[in-house]
Amino acid sequence: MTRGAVLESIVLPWLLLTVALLAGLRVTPAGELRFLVPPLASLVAMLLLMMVVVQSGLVQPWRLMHDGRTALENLNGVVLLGALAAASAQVVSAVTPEAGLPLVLGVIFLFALFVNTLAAKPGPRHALRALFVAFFAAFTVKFIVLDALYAPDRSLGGRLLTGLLEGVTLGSFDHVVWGPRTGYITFLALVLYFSALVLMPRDAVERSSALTRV
Amino acid sequence: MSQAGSGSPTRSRHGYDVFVSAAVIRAIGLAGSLIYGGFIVWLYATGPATMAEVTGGVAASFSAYRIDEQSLQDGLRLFRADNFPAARTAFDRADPAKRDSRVQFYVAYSYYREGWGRLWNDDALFTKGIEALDRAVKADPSGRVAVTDANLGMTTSDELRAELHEGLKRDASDYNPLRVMRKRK
Repeated sequence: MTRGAVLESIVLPWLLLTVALLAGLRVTPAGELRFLVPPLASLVAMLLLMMVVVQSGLVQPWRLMHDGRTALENLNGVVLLGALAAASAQVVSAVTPEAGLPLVLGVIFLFALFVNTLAAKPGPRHALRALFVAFFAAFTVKFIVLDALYAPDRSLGGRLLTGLLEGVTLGSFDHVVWGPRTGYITFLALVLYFSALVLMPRDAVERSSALTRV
Repeated sequence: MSQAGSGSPTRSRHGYDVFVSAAVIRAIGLAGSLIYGGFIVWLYATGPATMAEVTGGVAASFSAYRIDEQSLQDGLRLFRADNFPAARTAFDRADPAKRDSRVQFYVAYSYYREGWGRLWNDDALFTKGIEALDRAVKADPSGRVAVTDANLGMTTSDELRAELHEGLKRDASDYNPLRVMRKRK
């Protein structure tokens, strides 16, 4: 009981609040801090993500809030779910490019993956894998591929490619390059976010669909 | 729920002290989460650009923020010698969190004096001056900064703001040849 209380009221909320703090933090190449609130698209994507984690049983809100719990326990549940929503919105925002066509494509990519995961109705383990792949794929595209393409000291080939992309898309293919520390901070936030999802209290029996076991 | 019993303190199989009840842990966790959440909201609302501004902001919320008076005096000496970039470096050292109205007023004034020109003004410096003046006004509880300094042509934030805005304005008076007669304040 005490272990559950520590997990629900201290470890998980503080972990998720740290994710909410770190995932919105960007460091400019000059070393200045920028705290970005999630855009509306990230809030809508967060709702889809919450549906995925609840439907799959990764998060079980009915375990965190119900009539049988005391007021304090229910308050802990509310705070935990609020922290999860804030962290989810920020991680979605963190792995999505900030401007231009990459932003639109990134949002469409995440929306499609969340809807696909919802339709597949996976159990917690499979949902966790699907989300892990989606988030780290988006992270790779934003912080490794696009940052390399738009780095100030990029090669001639990189300049030609970005020039070609911008020309084809009439200048809408734009990307904001943050300082290198931003990538490390976002990576840490993602690792903490998935650690929190793994640690979430849930029933021992996996609610995996029968289809996956056939 | 853990049992709060008598006798010597023992540890549960999970390693937690059995005398610490779950309710106490939950209350501590709730309070900690609310404080931490409030801190995060404050960070996003104020948007500090450096760690010095973060720590300065936290210190200011406990009324524990103090500027470095020696660096301020160094900055003022450089300011009066018209060495404005060096003066701002000293002012930044004096007020790393950019939370002191007097220091930020002098920072804004340094941008005004550096950007002022007999024929034209430097718009970029004047814009930075307005930003610094905004910080100065925000830092002062009265919403207005007034300094006592005989070397300054303008001693209040209102006068300085009007002068900076006037400098950024584009109108027919910009082409008045008598502009060369005006004096820097």
